[in-house]
Amino acid sequence: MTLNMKKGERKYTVLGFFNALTLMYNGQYALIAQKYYKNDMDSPFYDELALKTSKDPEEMVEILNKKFKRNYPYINSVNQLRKDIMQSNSQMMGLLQGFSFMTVIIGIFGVLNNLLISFLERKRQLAIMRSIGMEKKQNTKMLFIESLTGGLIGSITGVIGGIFVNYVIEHLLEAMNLPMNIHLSPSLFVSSFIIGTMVMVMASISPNLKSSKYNIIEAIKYE
Amino acid sequence: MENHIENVIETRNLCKTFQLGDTSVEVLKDINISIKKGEFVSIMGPSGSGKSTLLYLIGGLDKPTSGSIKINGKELSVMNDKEESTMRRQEIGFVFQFYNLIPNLNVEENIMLPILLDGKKIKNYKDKLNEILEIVGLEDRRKHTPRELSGGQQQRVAIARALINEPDIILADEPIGNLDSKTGTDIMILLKKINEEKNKTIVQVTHSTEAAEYGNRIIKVKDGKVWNQ
Repeated sequence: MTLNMKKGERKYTVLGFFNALTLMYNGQYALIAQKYYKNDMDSPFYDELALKTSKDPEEMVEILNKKFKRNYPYINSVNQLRKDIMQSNSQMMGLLQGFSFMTVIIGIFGVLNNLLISFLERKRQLAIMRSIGMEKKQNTKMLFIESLTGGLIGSITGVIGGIFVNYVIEHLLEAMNLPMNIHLSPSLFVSSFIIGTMVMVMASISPNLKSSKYNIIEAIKYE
Repeated sequence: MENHIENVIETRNLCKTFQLGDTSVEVLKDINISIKKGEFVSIMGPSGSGKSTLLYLIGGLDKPTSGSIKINGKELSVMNDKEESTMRRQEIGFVFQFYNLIPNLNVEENIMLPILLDGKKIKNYKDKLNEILEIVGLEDRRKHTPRELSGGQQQRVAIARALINEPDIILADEPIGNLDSKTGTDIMILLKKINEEKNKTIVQVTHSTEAAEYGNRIIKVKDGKVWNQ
């Protein structure tokens, strides 16, 4: 392959592939011999070095830190690097989860609000049906079935939408040179589906209680 | 006993008081009326006299403060919600001034609503539906929604809905109050026809003397009391 180096185009032979650590540069790097680097990049120095050691990496970090103390080096083992990145990732994930949680809370209020407004809008219709013989029990059953159906449709759409969005995000990240394997947790989807449906059904309790108490005549006159 | 059952509607010492804040408003005072099967009764009275309240109490849409109402010999005050609703579906048909149709249902669906609420199969009532649509003259409007109909046509749908379950009693609250005089006359002729040909008991509340004269008896209500029967 031809690489565009500081000293111009240089031909390199690919000797093989290795399982790159995605921790560093998202796995987007190659290894070349140092003499070629110095020549082709016209650079006598490096700013980063990757060392392979047969000793204990942590012990090696300590030794190197002592040895180059005056140069204030930044030396890290792979394990430490992984740990640091995991920590910063978990902080970011925590933040994202916080946003998701807030979205769910806002969504719940949205559902409650929608059902209540929809009930107020349909109060007259429900009263008309009561006036021609709909029982309170039928009224309750109707509102319950409506909310259950809405909950099921909403949850199914949410789960399908969630899977689709995750799939798109995975490809989007890859296109942005940020390859990331997104693991979908089936239990999370199942619990989201159940909670979504339950929220909708529970949100119908208030309109249901209200609908069993209103005065038919007043509601019929209500516009 | 026979005479008692002959009265399809009977009220005894019927009173209704509304509580408006600290004030009690006595809308109906000791109303005693009896209406026989097949009668066409017009309840008349000035605004606020309590005539509509009387009709709603008879139809079980509101509860009296005291007194009794009997529909086909059955006491309303002892009925639970299920019994009361069943009575409203099977023994009473309502016709309101503002039609009160469900806007997103078409003519057929609006008419069949009491059948659906009664848990019956709609397909068994197709002939009945056709017969009623012919009576009210809406055979060619069966798939239209209420907003595609004129006021008179909407009131015809409301009458058809009131008739579909073959109730003995039709209660009409100002049935022509929202219609022009020509359409109003057509509706009154239709109600009279239903009364005579189907032997339905009709009780209408009206302001109009002309509309009241379609009935064979006029009950005048003033200040919550019956003045003549």
